Amino acid sequence: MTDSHKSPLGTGAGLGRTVLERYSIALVFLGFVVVASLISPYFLTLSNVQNILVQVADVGIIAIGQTFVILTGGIDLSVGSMVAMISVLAVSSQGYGVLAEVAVALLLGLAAGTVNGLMVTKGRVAPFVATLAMMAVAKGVALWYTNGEPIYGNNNAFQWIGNGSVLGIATPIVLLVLCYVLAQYALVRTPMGRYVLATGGNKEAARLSGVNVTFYETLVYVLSGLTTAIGALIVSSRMNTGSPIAGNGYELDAIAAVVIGGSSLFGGRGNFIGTLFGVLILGIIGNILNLMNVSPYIQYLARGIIIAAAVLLQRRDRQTA
Amino acid sequence: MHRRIRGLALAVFVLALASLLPLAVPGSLNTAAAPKHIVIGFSTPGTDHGWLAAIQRFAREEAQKLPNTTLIITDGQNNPSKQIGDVESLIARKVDVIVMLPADGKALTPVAAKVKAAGIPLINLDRRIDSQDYYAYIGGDNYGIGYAAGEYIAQRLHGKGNVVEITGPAGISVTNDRSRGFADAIKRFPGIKVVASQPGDFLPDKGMKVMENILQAQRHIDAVYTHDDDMAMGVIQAIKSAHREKEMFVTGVGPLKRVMQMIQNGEPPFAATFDYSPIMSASAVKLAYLAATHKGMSDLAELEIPREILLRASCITKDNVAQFMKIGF
Amino acid sequence: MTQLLQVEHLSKAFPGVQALDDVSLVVQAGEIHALMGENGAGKSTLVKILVGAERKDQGRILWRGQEVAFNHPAQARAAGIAVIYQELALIPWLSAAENVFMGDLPAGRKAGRPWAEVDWKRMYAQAQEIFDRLGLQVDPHTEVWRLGVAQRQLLEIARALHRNADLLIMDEPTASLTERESAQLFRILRDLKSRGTSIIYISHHLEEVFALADRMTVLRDGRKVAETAVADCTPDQLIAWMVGRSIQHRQPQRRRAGPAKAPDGAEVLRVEGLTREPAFRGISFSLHRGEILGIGGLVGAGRTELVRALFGADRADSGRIFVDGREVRIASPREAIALGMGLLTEDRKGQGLILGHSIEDNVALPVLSRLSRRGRIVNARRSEMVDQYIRSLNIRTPSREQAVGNLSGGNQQKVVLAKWLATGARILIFDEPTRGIDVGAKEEIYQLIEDLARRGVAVLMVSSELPELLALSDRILVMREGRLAGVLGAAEASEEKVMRLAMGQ
Ligand SMILES: Nc1ncnc2c1ncn2[C@@H]1O[C@H](COP(=O)(O)OP(=O)(O)OP(=O)(O)O)[C@@H](O)[C@H]1O
Ligand SMILES: [Mg+2]
Repeated sequence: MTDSHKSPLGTGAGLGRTVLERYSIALVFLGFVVVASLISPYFLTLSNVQNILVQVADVGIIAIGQTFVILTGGIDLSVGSMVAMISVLAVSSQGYGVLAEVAVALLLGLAAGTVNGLMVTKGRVAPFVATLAMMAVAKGVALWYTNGEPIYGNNNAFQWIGNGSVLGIATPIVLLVLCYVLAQYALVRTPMGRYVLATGGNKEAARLSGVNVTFYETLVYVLSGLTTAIGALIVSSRMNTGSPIAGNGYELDAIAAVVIGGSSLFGGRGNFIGTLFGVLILGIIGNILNLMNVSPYIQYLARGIIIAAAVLLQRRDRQTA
Repeated sequence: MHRRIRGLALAVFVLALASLLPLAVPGSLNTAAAPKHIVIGFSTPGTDHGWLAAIQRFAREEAQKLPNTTLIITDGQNNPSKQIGDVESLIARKVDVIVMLPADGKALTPVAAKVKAAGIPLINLDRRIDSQDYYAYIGGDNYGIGYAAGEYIAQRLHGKGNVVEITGPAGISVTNDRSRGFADAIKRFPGIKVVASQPGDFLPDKGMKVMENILQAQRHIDAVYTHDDDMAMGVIQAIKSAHREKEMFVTGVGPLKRVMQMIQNGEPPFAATFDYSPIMSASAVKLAYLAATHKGMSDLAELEIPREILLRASCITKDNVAQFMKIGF
Repeated sequence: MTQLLQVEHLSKAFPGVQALDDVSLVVQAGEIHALMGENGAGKSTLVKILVGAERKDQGRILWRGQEVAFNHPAQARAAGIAVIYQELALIPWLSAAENVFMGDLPAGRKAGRPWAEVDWKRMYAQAQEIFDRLGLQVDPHTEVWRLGVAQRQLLEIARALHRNADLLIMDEPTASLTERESAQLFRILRDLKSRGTSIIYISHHLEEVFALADRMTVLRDGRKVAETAVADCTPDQLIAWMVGRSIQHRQPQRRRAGPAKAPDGAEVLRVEGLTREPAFRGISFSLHRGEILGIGGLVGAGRTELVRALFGADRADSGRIFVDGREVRIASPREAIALGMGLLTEDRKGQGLILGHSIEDNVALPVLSRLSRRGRIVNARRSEMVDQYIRSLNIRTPSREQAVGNLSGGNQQKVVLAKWLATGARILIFDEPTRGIDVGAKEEIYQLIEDLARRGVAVLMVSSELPELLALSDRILVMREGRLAGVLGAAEASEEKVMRLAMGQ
């Protein structure tokens, strides 16, 4: 009977539209690549492409947790400060070996994420406020613990995380790809992913359908803490330093990447492929501004305009497709 | 359940407030103490950076050496309006002298007038206020640092080569002055080319990423002038990862102890750093003490301390690094 | 009579759906014009195009003889067309008067300037005037969240009146009103008509249309099948036009054989003294396998609150619940579902569905873990299941990927139903199951509920529609002001007896 309701356009048009919608970010990304390689001969070289991928790995992985949070309609402002806190505490445990550093980082991330999640769900504090508080606390811990001074690494094994390679590919890139594959898989192929989406789409309807919304809403903040810990490990390892000012502004980059990637800040809509493209677009912007030696005074302006353009271009696609 | 959480939160909050109490006590006690006792209020903009943390540390150490002196440090948490409140409460507490390192010189100019009106001498440290309402000024020479770095690099390159500049945050006076001084110095060497000048915002991770990008575009670099040692640590990490540390040398501004060690050991690519030591806060506290006790500087003939002290932007290299170790941070 | 609005050859396609196909109609000045059709026939789409909320593909719209193309509902409003949707668009934290005047608050000093001040006195006085005219007994200072649904509906009408609307469009206004409130609404509509306002009225209640409207236009699958004076038409004729075949219009008849057979089935649910202040208190009843237990009462009697508490959606203060004879604690919907329960909420958009998500995602949500193997969703199994429900429930959609928000109201309700059928629940609670559902689909849903009961599912059904309550229920619980007012067996129940219990006479 559904046949009688097909328009002359048929479902084909509908499908074409969803494909365009789903991949419009990819088109925008391709546009960026083309423009960037036209204006700088250094842009599309193997070493620069590697360079960009390594550079975006930390923020890129952090944006995964941020995407999870935003899918539920929340926001995590604490990730940047958490990078600083995790960075100094992880590196300061280097005396116990690289495994201790990794363990400290992951446990701290999980713990801080759990606190965020419980504040939001059990404490019923708005995500913006709860994570704003965590942002201050984490920054405070980082500064108090170090007196504002960096802790330098002396552990060569630790450096492998940021500077080593697996089968000839830089470790951060491997981690980046791995995390994205896992996250996208979880989103589309596991009940957990669908529950997170449902919670963001309509919390009450999800709850009445038997979804444990409290659990999943807490979980996304825990995941955000976890990905932040991985990001913090990468950046600390790459600098071989536990820095109390690392991760400055990462929360905004992560949120921007998620939004450029097409996720709705109201929750319920989005995916990780979009976020990855968002991360790459941000990485390209930073890279090309440096390659072209653009004046610092107009870099903010350029960045803002490019981000706005990326989002608007996608919107245009959505409407006219 | 919720009630318990709320109770816990309340307890934490009260504890946090209680921990601030010790700060409040000395001031109130001291007004009643012996007349010879000096209370110095020190308003800092925040501690988000190693340099600022060291500013507090050196000030505290200096105050301990001074007889009959109490130092009250306030932290503006990188928020000029918080810092204005800090200074106002120092006035209200009737401290004998105030040292102020403004988060933003313009924003803290009005409160300097209030300090003057209250009859309290103000020592303006480092970032300048926009008026004459200070008793004395002491600070580093940002323009001089840029200039000295420019001369050092040009001479070491014999007037010819490609130079990269990694600056502080765009649009603040520190960055402007360090850039301007540098540009003025190398203007005299037409063979020196600044091939890239990009902001690293004083952040090591940002410095690293920016330098990585520049390394992609610049096939040959002879020297890198960075505005900050901490940020330079990220920059040299990028250079080392690209295995290009033999190709170029790096200068910083600090001096960070760690950087001085590298200079001393001759570890490439760090070659030199310039003195903008936070130990100036120790001098500021000392000046404050002299101002409060109406004394001049013992080696000078004047009855009072000088009104302006501009510190020397010394160049620290392998040759003289040993003697600077004690002012490192 | 003058022609206020002419619609000529209007067409509109959505991906996969021809929502409107060459539709023409005329609304005269001072008439009540009913727009009829099944769920998904295109009624709401027509309205949205009229006021500029959707863009038309083809056709012309003439307003007072002039061709118009509104880009935005605000333009339509300025021209004198006001729409009142079923989902009301009021701002809950502002006063009733402010809501009426929102968009052009009366200014006092410096009127016309951006920094003009609101003339509060005048605003409240004018609002009071309009309320009096409508017989709306609400203090203009009251914040809107304190008002009931009916009062909010009237507030929307007040808003339209204040703008001097010449054409009032009402899309299923009575779906959540009690009979008394509907009667008041009709009085007001007739009064408006006598003052020359035209009204386009959309409703699935045929009786209302015959009582109220002067003329009607009937749509089927996006096409106009009839435009006629109401007097020249019978309910049977209307239904034939709407569904495209003739079915006898009848009040739902008691179709189940014999007297209440409830007590034969095993008791699956027993409730003792369930209380949640202030909504309801001391409610006790039992429900058996294969039984349909109706819950009647006026809107606000605490029925929705009762079933929500039963399902664990809200916490009960006290009382005991037994499932299959064993006492259980139900602290969350998850636990209720684990016990084999399902709840079709009254508010399907707010609580039943995730509008932005596909039919597939919505239907599969409660059973995802069952559709997975080793933590991974088996897509084929999921699609197969969803497609099967789309077929068996006749859900009109181009595909299972369609966002539920794009479906017509009736089809949305079917998606909710599919979701709960998929869980294989043994105890199904329906809260107003046919709200906003067309006559044909209503019949289908009745059949479905009866089938479920026949297969042994225990059904608890809250309904404000007496005929359906009487036709389906084996027993009827009647609630009044949070208490159980009485229980009627199928044989003894009548509309009059239910109403008497519900109103406490
Ligand atoms: N935005 C949209 N995208 C895709 N399809 C849509 C959209 N809006 C409506 N439709 C489809 O257009 C058709 C007409 O829908 P419409 O809402 O006008 O029906 P209706 O007559 O108001 O039904 P009901 O009585 O159930 O409210 C339906 O098949 C619906 O699924
Ligand atoms: Mg409709």
